[in-house]
Amino acid sequence: MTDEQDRTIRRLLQEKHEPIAIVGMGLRFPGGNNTLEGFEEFLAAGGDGIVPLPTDRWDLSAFLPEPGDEASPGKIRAPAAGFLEGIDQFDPGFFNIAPKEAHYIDPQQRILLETAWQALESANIDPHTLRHGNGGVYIGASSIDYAFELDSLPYEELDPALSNGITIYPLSGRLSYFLGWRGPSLSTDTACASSLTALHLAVQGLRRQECDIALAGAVNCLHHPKIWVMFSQGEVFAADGHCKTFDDAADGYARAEGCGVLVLKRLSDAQRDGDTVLALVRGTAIGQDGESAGLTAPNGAAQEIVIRSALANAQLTSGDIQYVEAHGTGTPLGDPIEMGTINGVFGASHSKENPVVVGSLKTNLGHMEPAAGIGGVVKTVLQMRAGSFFPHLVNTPSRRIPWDSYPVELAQGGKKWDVPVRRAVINGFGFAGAIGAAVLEQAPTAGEEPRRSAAESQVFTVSAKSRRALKLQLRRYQEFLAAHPEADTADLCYTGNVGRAHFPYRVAGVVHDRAELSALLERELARADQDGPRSGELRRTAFLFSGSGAQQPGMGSALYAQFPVFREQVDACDRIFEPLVGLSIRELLIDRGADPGTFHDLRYNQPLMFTFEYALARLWLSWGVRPSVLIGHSTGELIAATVAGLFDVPDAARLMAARGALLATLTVPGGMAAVAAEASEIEPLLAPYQDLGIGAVNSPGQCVLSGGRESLDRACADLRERGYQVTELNVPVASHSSLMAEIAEPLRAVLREITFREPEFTLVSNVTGQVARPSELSTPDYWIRHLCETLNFADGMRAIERRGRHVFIEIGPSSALTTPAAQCVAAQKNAWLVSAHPEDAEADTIRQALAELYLTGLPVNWRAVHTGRERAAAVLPHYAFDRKRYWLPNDATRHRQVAGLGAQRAVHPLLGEEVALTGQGTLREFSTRISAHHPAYLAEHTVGGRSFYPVAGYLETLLALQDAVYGETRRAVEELVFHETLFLSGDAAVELRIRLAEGDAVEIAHRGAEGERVLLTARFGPRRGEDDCAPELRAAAALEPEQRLDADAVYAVYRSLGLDYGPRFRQLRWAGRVGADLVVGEVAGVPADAVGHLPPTLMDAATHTLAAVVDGTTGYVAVRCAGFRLFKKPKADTLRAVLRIGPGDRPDAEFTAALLLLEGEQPVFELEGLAFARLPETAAAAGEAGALDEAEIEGLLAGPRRQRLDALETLVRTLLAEVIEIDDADSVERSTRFIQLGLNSLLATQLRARIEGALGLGLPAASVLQHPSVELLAEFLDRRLSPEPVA
Amino acid sequence: MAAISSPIGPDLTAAIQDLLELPRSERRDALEALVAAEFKATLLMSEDEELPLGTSYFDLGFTSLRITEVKQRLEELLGCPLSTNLLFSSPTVEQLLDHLASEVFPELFTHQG
Repeated sequence: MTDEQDRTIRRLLQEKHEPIAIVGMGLRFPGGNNTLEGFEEFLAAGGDGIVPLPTDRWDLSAFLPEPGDEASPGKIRAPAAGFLEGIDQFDPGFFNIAPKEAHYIDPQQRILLETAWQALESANIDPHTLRHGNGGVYIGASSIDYAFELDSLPYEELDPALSNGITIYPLSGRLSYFLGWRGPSLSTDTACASSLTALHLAVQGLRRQECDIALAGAVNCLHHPKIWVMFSQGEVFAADGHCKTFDDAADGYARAEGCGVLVLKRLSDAQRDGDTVLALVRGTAIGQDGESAGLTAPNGAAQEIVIRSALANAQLTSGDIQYVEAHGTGTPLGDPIEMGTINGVFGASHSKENPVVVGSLKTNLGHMEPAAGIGGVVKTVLQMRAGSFFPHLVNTPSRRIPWDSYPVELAQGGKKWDVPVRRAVINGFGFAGAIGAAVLEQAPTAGEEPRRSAAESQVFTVSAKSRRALKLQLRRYQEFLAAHPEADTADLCYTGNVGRAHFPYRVAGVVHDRAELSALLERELARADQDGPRSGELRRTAFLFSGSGAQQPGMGSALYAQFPVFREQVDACDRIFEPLVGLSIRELLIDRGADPGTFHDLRYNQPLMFTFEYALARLWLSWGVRPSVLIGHSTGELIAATVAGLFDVPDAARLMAARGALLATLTVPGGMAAVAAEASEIEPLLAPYQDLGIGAVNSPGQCVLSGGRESLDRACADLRERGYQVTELNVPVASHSSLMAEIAEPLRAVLREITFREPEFTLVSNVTGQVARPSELSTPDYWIRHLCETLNFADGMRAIERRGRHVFIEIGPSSALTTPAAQCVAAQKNAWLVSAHPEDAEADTIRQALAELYLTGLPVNWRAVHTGRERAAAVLPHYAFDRKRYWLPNDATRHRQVAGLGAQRAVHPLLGEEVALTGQGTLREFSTRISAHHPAYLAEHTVGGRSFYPVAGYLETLLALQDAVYGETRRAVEELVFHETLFLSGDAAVELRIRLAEGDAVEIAHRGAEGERVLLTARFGPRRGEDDCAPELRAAAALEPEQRLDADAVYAVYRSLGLDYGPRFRQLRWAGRVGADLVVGEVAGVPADAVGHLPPTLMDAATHTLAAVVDGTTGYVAVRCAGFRLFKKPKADTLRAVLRIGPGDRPDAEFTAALLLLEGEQPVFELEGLAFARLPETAAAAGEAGALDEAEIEGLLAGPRRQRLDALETLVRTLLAEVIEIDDADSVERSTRFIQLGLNSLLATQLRARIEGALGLGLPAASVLQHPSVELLAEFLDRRLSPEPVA
Repeated sequence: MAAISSPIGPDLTAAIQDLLELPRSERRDALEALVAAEFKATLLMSEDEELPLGTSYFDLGFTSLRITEVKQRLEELLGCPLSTNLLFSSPTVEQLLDHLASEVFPELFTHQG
């Protein structure tokens, strides 16, 4: 066989059988289990996760079997089960989902997202590195409880977000979308075999290279009683709520929620990537019962076939297996069949002496249904890792199983699993016959443990997606440290840096030990409330290469010892310099005891600086820093040019060595001195000295004199006398002065030998003070000028400043250059980092700089930072999600509807159910819950963007009350008083109590946690015929107005008042005045539904005729109404409204109105004495969150631009927070992209409408999408609002 | 992707010639500015607003029609055809820049030193 054929066969076999490594696991299981470590402890202790049915899922009492009638239908006969805590809780912001949308997303999707994230964390994988990759997602799930919950939502409240919010398919789709993975993504439902099916498909996908990493998982949430009732009628539940698998008392199963996710890779890839392998999936198989005693009855023969084919897929035999994690749900029929299967497969290979051990997780947690298989995998992996079995909870082994003849043994806690290679089979059987099996093997012995390097400082990092969440992370770390006294600080730092995603809100610092880490956490937590760290404002980096000055022996020792990249570069330079200078530059660099004379010798000094700074720059580059520009002071410019790539290192070394040697040959004594003054001020004072000039302009406040020794001494004395601060520099030469002419020609000779190359990075020239063109730099002349002419470093810094804000990193042994550099530019706008410090023997300085670089938000290649100093992977706390409750807006009705009665019994949504009496003198009492979304039209009745309850809603409620109590709606309602406005939010429903008391008194009250507030009082009056119905108004109905205001004009008036009606309320087609006090208008019909009487949207629209008489600048609010009568339910397509304005009835009322609505000649309803008060300013402010009136807008426009922008930003932030429904508007950063907040195009349209309403301004349709942050949108609005700018 | 065979030829557009004038190390920034300007113009963003390069331009309010407009203008500017498929499947300015730098004009951007 040829090598080629051999390779092909190997490859094909590999594709068929390659072991798949489990490199991470995330879990959320009953019993409060959400970490691997915690779950292991729970299982080892034989934990029981079963709890009584919780009260927050459905109305427990409604489903409790009647005492004495245990078999009554429609009830739930399970006292307990396995439940997760807080399935309604979620952190939508983390997953780029708008809080508003989160309500409409199945908790299974949300829990899966969180658990998948934790699985990737446990694998120490930063998911950002996998975006756009071919990662695969394979999810098992069956529960569609969230879709059942929709029963209680009316059709008009079916939010479009639900289309990807319910059912099974979006589980995998949303996860792949969030991660940005392009590999296979599918959700599979084979009932209780789902997760093993998903695992099988994931293994296949990996082996066939369809993906290089895969998540296999499953999720199950149980919050709707429907399936529970169904199963109860089928009598499948255990009477005590426990799966008593293989127990004689087995009497059915217990349902359980749960979510588990595995991170999988091909073993070869995992080993290549250095992943921690938890265990291997050696083989998998799936199949079906086919024919059996019934669709749901298991088939032992079929089960055997699937287990055998999983073994074959693993290239193993039954004798290789020591443990079976049984499906074992605890039913008297299924368990013995499964044990028979196990005997069938393992009977021949095992014996009573060498039995196969069997256990089932269901005895601990109940049956997680689609997630059961993944639970079994997680448990088995933990057992393999522990090397011992967890107890299978059983009292009396079942007498239905012939234990004596089977070579099996139930798992006993603590029993060692002591074999050369631990291997196990996991079983999973679906309710409709699906079968899945997986063969697991313990992880291969890991290679060498990473070398534990000597204690050295580490950079600790932690980050979060929001300011609030950052606090949670800090707290979680504190708790983690307290609970894990054994955790190694350096390992924690290492793992956090390389194994976690890094988000915009960051904390970082250098720590040496646990005490320092604790102090850092404490300090940052205390600071978190004040001004949290913020990143992302600096996008560019600049390297500052310092010239000679701060160097000292041994300055490279710590970097050389700790960073291999630095070490390699120093060694390479050393090899090049040694023949040129005749000694080891490396020794001078790393030997703190080096002879200072040698060290400062000009011949060695230049090569030393070069070696140190060049290696240091390479180190920073290796960490992923890409400088947008380089600048160097004096010699530093030569080094910068080398790093930029203008010279290669051997050429640069020759140049540096020659430069040093030539400087040492200078015959005229020279020197330099720094003067703390502007160069232009000093220059004239130097006129008397022929051989002295300005060598360098360092900053606006500092220049350097350079020239002949004698002149320099006299000039220094002279300047000191004049009061200048002068510091003589410890250099025996006059660089950048005419004295350099002496060595110009010999240096030129060297430069001619040098090859100039095209630089990779941009360099700023200190000769010109500008960005240098490569052609300009690529001549010997330039570098001669550089030697002889004044250096204008200050101009060079300004040239950098013109390119934008930068993170400046000093490449040099101290902060000597940073000080003047920062004086050249607006220092506060930039960040300044220093790589080394003369006193720092531990390389803490560069780590501090790295921490600060990280805080700016720039990317850091942490793997490169830790290269050569890798630590052990540590267990870290998971990301602390900033969770809140999100649920369908069905609070108002779910208890009733789920009780199975609502569908038949029509209940008026505004009146609700009759309840026990609470008020004094009350005869009848009703309770309902409403929110901005329930009924849905309420969201369209807003002032200043906030929804509030319309007067028409109260009237309809009172009609419903009449109907419920008297069976008629024709009694007058009189003496209505509207006590206060009820604002509604979309988040939480509010409870209203509607009471009828003695004397026909009625009352509507808001019942909150802090007690009751009466909203409305009224009285039912006598029944009257329609004959006495407003004859004057009836007569006026046919009149034609002088001028019609069309609907657009009407609703523009309301919008200018901050009342932005949605389409369902915009039913008035036109209105117009007839004479002084009459208005007629046409209203589009809104038919009443089966339980309704007078649709509030229609009634409200009839009052919109007021727009024809009010002026659009003053808001009014209805305070009372003398009387109201309904004559018939409206049915026509077109109705006519007639309104008459009269004087105020009492001093507080501005005016009153009488209103009549007619269908042809026939009156529909009549309102009398509807009194309006001027909307108090304070009430307007309270209601109109963020809305501005005209005067305010004018005030704004007159003010300074910054103030204007601030106000607009506040407005945008407030309205945005309302639209996406987040609590804390201030938590929205100015620059955060709307898309990251989950603002989709639908919500963007809503935001635009709100802004239009608040500003009274029309905006183009795409305004929000095109200005997708608070900052950008505010600027845009400012441009729209401002008059044309004056040139 | 139909890259032009040799962008360094006599019929270069003015924009590409300007890029050629720049040091190689400055070209990527200049190309970014050029491309971003087209996107900003379409989004009615002003010069000093920052265009998020890593966010899908569909999330920034682009429609397929608008993208087609930008595509045409960029093709004129750069003198090379751009793949529609690329614009739709890799919908960020950053990905477009990567593509231009590494596939369409490698001679202009790839460091030769």
